Amino acid sequence: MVQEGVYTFETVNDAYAEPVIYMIDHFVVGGFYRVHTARGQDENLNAPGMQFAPLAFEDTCLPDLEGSPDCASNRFYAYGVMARLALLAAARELEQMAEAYEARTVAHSGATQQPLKVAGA
Amino acid sequence: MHAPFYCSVDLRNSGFKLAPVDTNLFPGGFNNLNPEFLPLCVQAAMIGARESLPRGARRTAHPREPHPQHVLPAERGGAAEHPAPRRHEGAHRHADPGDHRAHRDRAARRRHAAARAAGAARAAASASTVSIPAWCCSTTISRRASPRSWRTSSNRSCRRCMPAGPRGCKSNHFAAYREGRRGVRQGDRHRPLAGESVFRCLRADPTSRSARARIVLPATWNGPRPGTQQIRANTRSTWSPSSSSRPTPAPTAWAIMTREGARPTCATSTASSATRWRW
Repeated sequence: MVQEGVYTFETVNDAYAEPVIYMIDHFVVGGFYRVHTARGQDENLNAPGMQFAPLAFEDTCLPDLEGSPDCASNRFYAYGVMARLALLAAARELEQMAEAYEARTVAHSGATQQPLKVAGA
Repeated sequence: MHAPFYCSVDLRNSGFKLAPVDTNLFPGGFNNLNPEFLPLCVQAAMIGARESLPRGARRTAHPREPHPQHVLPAERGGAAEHPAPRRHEGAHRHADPGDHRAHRDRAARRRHAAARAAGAARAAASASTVSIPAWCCSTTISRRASPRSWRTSSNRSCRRCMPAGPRGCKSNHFAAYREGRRGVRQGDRHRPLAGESVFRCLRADPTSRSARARIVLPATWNGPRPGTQQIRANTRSTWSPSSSSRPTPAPTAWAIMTREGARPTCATSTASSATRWRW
């Protein structure tokens, strides 16, 4: 799995954690940390025994130009950007799937309709 | 390109790289989110529903829907007298105005009083829980489910869904939500619901000056002022176009409520206009 190829270096109370971002229709509406006390930094945290810690989206979700690159607001803003990119990828994939499905159905219906037209003429 | 309605993304931050590792289009776990951002969820859900749901599904979230319930065909035919809503009254918004005819039928109101009360109780109960259908303003904006104080408030936005002020959203990151909020049609508390008298709507809040100011009489109006008992007597008397000594007959309530100035509508017969002036 690629997932375990990206180590997570974030910890919440000495337990490894990964952020989960939730979106509703291209709007980031919140998120939380998935924490697992029994798993390591190279393991899948989405397993029984995981806990959730709220992501501190408290005040602002804008990047803090004065703060360090690793401060909370900048980090969460980057999380939001990455989540939206993932959403964009999912939307593109869905669109390609829909196009492929339509192409298949059109080809299929065209094959069935063609003899009907010939019969009508 | 349409964004999926829901999405949750698992991220991994390893310090030097940050990557999405899992994208879920049907996520659970919304209960783990910060409840402070429930209003933003509401806004996002409404915008997403408006853009992605088919047109027929939008009507289920109609903020002006007075009593969403099925109407039997016999009741539709029984309530024949119905003022056709003018354009400004939102005739184009109602896909099927016939649905509202039964609300003018008082017998049907009495017959379904128990069912409607049960429905209102259900709506109030569902509005207090956090589920997607209850997020919409349609339940909270309903007069039966909303407290009376909401109706008399000057804040026309739904308090449950959109808490305005510093606790809501401070940052410009959510400017899109606020932009979308303008697009959300709010029910106008000064406009009557279907089958409801205009003046009963106004009298619900006698202290509001703006409500009184909305009654725009035509410039040529020399009859009695609305809100007095004289109008009631006047509209119930017979009026013929030949009797020029009489003052201009009272326009229908729908005509009075035009914002850009009312035209007195005398085309309708006196009997039907008298029944329209229900107090």
